[in-house]
Amino acid sequence: MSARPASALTNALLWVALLATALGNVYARHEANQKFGELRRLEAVGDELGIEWNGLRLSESYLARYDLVEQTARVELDMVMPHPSDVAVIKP
Amino acid sequence: MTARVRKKANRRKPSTTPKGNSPVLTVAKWRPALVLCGLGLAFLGLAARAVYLQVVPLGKIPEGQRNAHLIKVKLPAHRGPVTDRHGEFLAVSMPVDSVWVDTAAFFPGGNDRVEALSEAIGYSSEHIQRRLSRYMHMGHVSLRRHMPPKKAARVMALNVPGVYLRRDYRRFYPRGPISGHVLGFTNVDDEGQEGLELAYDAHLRSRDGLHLMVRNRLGQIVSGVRRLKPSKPGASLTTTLDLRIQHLAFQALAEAMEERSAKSGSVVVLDVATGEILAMVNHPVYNPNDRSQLLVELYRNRAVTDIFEPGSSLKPFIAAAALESGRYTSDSIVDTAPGRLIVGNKEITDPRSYGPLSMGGILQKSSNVGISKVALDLESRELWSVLVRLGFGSLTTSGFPGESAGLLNSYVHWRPLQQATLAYGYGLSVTPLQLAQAYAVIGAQGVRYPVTFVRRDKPVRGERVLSESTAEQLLAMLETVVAPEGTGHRARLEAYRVAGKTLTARKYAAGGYSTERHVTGFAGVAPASSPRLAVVVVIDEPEGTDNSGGKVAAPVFADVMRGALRMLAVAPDQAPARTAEKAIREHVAVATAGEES
Repeated sequence: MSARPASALTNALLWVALLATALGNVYARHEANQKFGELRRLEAVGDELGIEWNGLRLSESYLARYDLVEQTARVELDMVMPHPSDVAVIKP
Repeated sequence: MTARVRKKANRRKPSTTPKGNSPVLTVAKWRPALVLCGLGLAFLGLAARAVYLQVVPLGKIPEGQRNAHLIKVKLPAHRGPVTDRHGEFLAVSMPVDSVWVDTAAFFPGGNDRVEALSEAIGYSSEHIQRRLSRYMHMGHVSLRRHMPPKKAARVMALNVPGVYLRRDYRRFYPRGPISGHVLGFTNVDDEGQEGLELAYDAHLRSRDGLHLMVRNRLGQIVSGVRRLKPSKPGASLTTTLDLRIQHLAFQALAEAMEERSAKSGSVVVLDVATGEILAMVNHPVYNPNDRSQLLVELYRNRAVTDIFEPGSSLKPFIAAAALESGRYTSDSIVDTAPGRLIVGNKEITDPRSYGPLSMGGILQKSSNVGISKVALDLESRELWSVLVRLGFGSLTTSGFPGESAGLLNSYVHWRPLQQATLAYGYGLSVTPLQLAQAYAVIGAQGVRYPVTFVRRDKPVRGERVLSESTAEQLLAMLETVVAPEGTGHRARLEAYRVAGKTLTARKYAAGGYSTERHVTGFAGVAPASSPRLAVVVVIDEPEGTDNSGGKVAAPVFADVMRGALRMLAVAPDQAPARTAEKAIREHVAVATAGEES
């Protein structure tokens, strides 16, 4: 293959292509940074929500602790454990 | 194209331009070319620089330049939570913030700001000043460790330059002492130190992430660049514990401990069909959230670390060996008269002479003489191998740190006296968990399932260690122990049939077995028609006039078993089932009578 002088058109096209890819690269980089920032923000939000969820579950387990439930049932609601003779078991 | 058209238009109408009358400027042809060339070169230079900056990876930029605006930031992740089998939290890591000061940038600006800062932090301003001056040379000074995030946010709201927060995680145990021994705890760096926290540390542990961030002139982080290492929170651990049963066992044991001022105690609840540990509690207790009093004595999960001589609770397994040998059945008669048996230089005694007893009778009366005679009649190797298969003398599969394997000497070293005393549970030692495992075998028709603290994804295959008929006969014999005239009648339940055995063992002290200090307990399974649970209660050195296992431990067993079966919605297998039929008949009778009238 003999080296043929590139036509002006080819040159121009290559220049345009170079510029376009360069700009594309810059844009992609920028986009990546933006997206990373967004990801970080969302992750932080997710973490906060997870922490809040755990905190709520903790409070729930504190409020629903068994001794409190039992005391409420016995003292406030006057509930008693049914005697086995008062229990009817229906076998399928 | 358009340019040319416009040029033509311009030529056609020169008079329309306001400066149309000015003299024509002649420019040398090379000058625009030169300008264009210069501009082109400048652009090329810029483009090259842009390409270099954007395409060449950051790693190739010299260290010093990178550090100018990039900073590596650690992102802490939290340790995985531990839950019970229904997802209730047993241990969870919550964020806490530590307040730090960068002394180079610190500028409180006025005494009132220092006042406000000290108030928000919760320390006196003198204290803060003292800390600052003492650690000034270190660059960064910690003002307060581990504050709740909401309080720490108030510190940051003051906007004092140089003050910043560092996030950590702290472990909380919402159930405190109830599950303390099983869970163990972590150290300040959130590494497991004891219990399941230690055993499953690798599973629970988190990995901190590392991010590359851009900071501005003031050192504030403005944006992120890249993730060097993702942060990975620890995986959660689902244990086999059922918090409801755990709580129940805790209460029942606590009451007995207080009533009897006992030294220590343990309760183990096992699911016989899976080997899952549904509850395990010990006394004395400690609160894993507050470890200001460092007493190793309290941390021990006695149900797996402490051993005791099982006394009478071992007798059913001697009976098992006898049945397995094929030379005995549950009806075989052994003469225990006159209630004394001399082996070697030792006399084995019963409280009184029971005369001829069946195998079931030996267990029901808990006759030492009877069971010793049976044991002496068996091949030592046979007897030993049954005990080994039941898990005595070796670690369970629980994987609990510090677990004890108990003590069971090889039959090679047995002499007749040892073989006889072994029969009623002396000369070997077991943990409460091992005892529960062995009783679970009786409940599971002779199959031993590996015990576990952690939920399995798929059912596990057990290993048959006793024949089905042996297990069935044992179950029937152990039911007689709980009969109204048996030693364990206080373990009876209203709605369920119980099979179990009491234990009252003298403790070995310097110089021999004590007559005053005992280990008492009760081990059993229920409902006897189709066992679901194995429960072992061990209470060490109870005080009081009657400190036998039947008196001290059997009621605890009954409380735990009754509550646990109810919580698991196990159908009653005695009396009430019949009344149910009656109740329905009555109901129907009333209804039909109503219709007729």
